[in-house]
Amino acid sequence: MPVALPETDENKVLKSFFVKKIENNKDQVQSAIIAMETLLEAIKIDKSSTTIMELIDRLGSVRKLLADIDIVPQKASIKSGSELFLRFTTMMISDIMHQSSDFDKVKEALIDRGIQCISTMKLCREKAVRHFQIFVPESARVLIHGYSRAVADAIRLAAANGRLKCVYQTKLSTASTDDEERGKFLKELKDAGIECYEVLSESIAYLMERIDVVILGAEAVVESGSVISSIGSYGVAITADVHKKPVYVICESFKFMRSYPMKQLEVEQDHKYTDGDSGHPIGDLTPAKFVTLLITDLGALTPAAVGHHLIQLYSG
Amino acid sequence: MTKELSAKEKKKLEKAARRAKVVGDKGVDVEAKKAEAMRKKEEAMKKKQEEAPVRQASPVPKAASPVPQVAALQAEGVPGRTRKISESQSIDPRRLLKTTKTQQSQVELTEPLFTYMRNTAGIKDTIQTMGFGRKDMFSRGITKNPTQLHRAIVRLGFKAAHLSKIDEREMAEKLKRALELFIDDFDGRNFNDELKQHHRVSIQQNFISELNPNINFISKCHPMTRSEACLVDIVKEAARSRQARDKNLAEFKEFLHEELQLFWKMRVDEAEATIANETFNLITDNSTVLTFGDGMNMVRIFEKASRLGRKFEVIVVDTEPSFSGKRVLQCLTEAGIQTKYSTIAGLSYMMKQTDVVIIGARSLLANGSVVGAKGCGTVACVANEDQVPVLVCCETYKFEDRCAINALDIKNEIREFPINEHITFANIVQDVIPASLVTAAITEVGIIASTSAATVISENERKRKDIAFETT
Repeated sequence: MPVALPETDENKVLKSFFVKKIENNKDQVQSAIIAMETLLEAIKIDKSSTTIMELIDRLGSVRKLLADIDIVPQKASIKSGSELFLRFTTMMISDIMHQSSDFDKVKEALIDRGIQCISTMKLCREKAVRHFQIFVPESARVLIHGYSRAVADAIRLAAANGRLKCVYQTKLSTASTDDEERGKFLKELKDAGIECYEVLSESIAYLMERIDVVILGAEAVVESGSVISSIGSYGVAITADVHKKPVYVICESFKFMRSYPMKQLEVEQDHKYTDGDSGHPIGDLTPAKFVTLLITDLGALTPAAVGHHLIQLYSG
Repeated sequence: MTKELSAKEKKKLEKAARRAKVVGDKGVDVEAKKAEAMRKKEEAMKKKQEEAPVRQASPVPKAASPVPQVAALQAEGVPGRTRKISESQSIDPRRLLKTTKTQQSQVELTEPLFTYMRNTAGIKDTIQTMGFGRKDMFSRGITKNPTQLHRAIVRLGFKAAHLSKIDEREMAEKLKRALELFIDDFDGRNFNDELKQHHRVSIQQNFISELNPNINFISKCHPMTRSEACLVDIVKEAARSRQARDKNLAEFKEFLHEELQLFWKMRVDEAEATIANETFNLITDNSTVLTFGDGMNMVRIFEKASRLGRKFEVIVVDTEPSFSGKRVLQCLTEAGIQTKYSTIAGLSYMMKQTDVVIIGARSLLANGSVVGAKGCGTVACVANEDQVPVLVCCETYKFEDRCAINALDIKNEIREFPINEHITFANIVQDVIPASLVTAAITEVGIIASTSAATVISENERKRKDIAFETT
């Protein structure tokens, strides 16, 4: 049983800040970015630390706090996003300290860095969407599995550029929170004149011969390049591999996680199940060999490049 | 006609050689005879070149060959036999110590197969003719000491040449000890404080020029593995570094010792401990681990995991001809770990019972391929077929900045293994596992994808340059 963090005033404030932002998420900002904003808020309202190390410790405990909040169903991106945020802001801390050793000024510098980091991260989805456009062939018939905002944006842009002929969206057998949004998304495409079909997961193998491109979203990407995404992605990827169709995963680079699960069972429970470990899993691991390319804000990467990127980021 | 002539020539040359072999107090005579024999052979060689076209498979260009007799005989081409260098006494020991790449293949196989690989067959005879034979190590035949070889290095090379199987970690340790002795005994004979300005030979250059023949000797006795090459690189780099510049002899030696110690401590010993910890985390209770028998690294790792409380079973897979897995089996059983043993013939059966494959590597290449003991490629293939993850344990100092796709690689080597006189056994020593078959590499920087080896190498380079920059 994980030990609950003390319900100090600060923690309460941060929790409510986070929950409010998630609930009022009109701009469809990713939960990872909201986590980053919460961490930034934590630096701002922090009163108890007097040294840099204390502050870093404090941020670590806030991170754990966020990971325990139940309102968000999948926590992988929150974990990776917050780790990345901490890495970015505290990375060149020795640089900041050379300029001035006054703790308040260091804090200010960290806050500035944090704001910069968040504004860069907010643009990640757009960049990934733009990078994706060259991978859509003319009159493309596209299969999308699961609902991801990045994928939805990418498809909208491709439709606007007139390259799409037909979109097959798989329907999950259990109701999920994204059903509404998915429905709206498909309606938009229909109004734009593109054939849209909602297909059952059972019929994916049947349809694979007429599909040109398979697109997946990602909850997290692990070090080997394997992708954790909505349940069923593994099956879709295997089917696509047999039919030699490319599988593209669109995700932002802050979803790269520093873990190395080699089997489905090794993926953390939190990333797979919503309530305890009963019920059906909502996420699975698609191995790197089935992923053709990862389209990210850094460009189109092969799965091997994820390891490279993570090593450079976390060892420098 | 040609063949008859050459047979006669052969006899003549052999006679001359035998006469030249007689060594004694007739110093001058011997020299003259040697010179004569050399001349005759060169003439014969030229004749051969005119008469019969030289075989293109030979990697040794005739002009630079130290064994002209062998070259002459090759045109005859008695199939299926290898030539022994001991038949010719005209080897100039000094030539053997020079760094010409062409001299790497000691014995010419008449079949043009694997001739590009490094080959140690016949090295024992070479060492004998150099005067370092078994009985009188330092007495015979060399008029003055043309070799500046250190006794520890000679001893090491000699042992290495006579071993049929080499545990690379042990070799690295022995080499480290030999290098330490070398550094201790380095007295910079040719280095003279007062004449420094005139001769412009610094301690650094002197050290390196004394070290080079030793290293060449060792690499001819047994082609150096990546770990040994790394050790040598560390010593050379330390000797050449800026920090070693303005030191006097004692400080220089101390500095080199320090660098070597630091390297060994940090990147070998501590790295191994970290890797053992990581592996401990990866082995789950009541699982079966398959390892490919070679080298004591894996034994130490498994022993540690068992001491820390994991209950697991190990399957040791072994190959001929050296059956080095038997020692692994013995050590593991003594440590109280449940072990099974099989040769590679039983591999597919054993694989059905395995949860994870963990093998040790000699080197990890930039494209993610793994260089290991021969047979490990097969193990990885079968593991992939059965969806068993393949994990490779490798310290970062063994990472290499080159690429190889399979075992027929130029850096591979053939080691002599006598079966009988009619068979030349191509005992290829190393194997390469392609990157796609390796699930992950366990290193001291964590568990990484094997393709990330290149990034780790470049990160280390970058850090080293940063440090070097800072200290100047």
